Amino acid sequence: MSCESIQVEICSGEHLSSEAKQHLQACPYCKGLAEFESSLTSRLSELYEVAPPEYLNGRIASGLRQRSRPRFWSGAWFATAGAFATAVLVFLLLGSGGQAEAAYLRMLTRARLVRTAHVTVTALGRGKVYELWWQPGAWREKSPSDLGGDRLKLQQAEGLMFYRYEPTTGKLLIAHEIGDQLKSFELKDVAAAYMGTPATFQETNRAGREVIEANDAFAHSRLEFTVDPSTGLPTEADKQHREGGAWATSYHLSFEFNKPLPAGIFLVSDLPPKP
Amino acid sequence: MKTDPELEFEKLYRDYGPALYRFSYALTGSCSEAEDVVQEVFLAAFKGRARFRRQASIRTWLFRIAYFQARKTRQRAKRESQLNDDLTVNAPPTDSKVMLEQALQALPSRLKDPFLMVKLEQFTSREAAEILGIPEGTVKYQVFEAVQQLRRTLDPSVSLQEESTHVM
Repeated sequence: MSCESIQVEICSGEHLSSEAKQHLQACPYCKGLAEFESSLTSRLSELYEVAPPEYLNGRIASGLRQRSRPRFWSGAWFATAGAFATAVLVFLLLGSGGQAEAAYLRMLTRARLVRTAHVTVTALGRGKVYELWWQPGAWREKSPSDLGGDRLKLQQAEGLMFYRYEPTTGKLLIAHEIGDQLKSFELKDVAAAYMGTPATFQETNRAGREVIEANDAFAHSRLEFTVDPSTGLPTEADKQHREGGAWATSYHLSFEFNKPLPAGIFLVSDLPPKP
Repeated sequence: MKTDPELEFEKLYRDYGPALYRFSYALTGSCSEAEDVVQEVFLAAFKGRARFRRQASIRTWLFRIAYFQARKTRQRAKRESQLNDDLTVNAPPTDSKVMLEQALQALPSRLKDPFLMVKLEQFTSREAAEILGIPEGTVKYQVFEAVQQLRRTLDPSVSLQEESTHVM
């Protein structure tokens, strides 16, 4: 074993061979290298004793929320021609039949007319846990019990900007929202983003309601939409999970489209709490 | 409302967020760039989670994303700084922390990156090789070269002659 290979072994920080240990006792140069390497490691830890800022957690969580839920929460149930064709193909391939296709076509056609959306989420046993108001290029979300709190996202010249009022500092947090922000949506993309990919769809008729289920690839959770047959838009959805071999609802979602939204809901000045 | 992905994220951030931030800061030298890198890591990880091979270590997977993201950031920063060349010469530092930081910044990235992975983040050479996509032996040698170079800079008592003539 050459001296250099022993030095490489010393610098690797891994367990030294007996040959290397013996060599260190006899070689002042390599012993010095070993001592330097050891002190270097501890100095390095001191040098990079840094911690991420507290707001980073919330900022990332907000970005993830956009992926796992917000395409759906954004409520923009409109589709490009390509997505429309894709959606139809999905249903045909899945063999859902003409009924599913008709329902989905109706939903997509009507969904192009969405100009505003208001979504409310309630957790069973806990009440309202999330609320979204949407219009093109603007999202206002409130979720008092989680990291996000009250936040606003606006599509602006410099990109998609995230705003949140920090009560502890009395300042406004402003940041770029990083990550894909869908401008157009189709049900399969929304459900797949919300539950994981890929999602399969199935239409069923239950008690006269038109229901579209979106199941994730592992069937651990599902999102059961209720669709208004006259508009083709969702009115409700239940987020369900497997519990003891049966499906249990954990969250209930309700939707309102094209209703007037509260004045000022998309203004940054609306973020700080009113006295 | 906490969805499954959000709960998953909270745990991941708790377990790996601070180390990813430290590593990103060490690679980029900037707090704001480190924040952006970490954010990008979790967003990319969330997007690609279906493709994550369960047999691989989640830690190496996240750090691999961080490494390539930080490298992109560094390359962009380098292009921008080349446009604003500053010829100011500073007096040599006396503070040992500053000296170490400057010595690290002077390392070429092909030595600095594996060195930081092994010495700062305590990855084994094998794990670092997996992150960097290079052979394990190459990682070991690059770390060795980095230590040698740092020793020459930080420990003036070791002369070049002594180092080059040292044989078994």
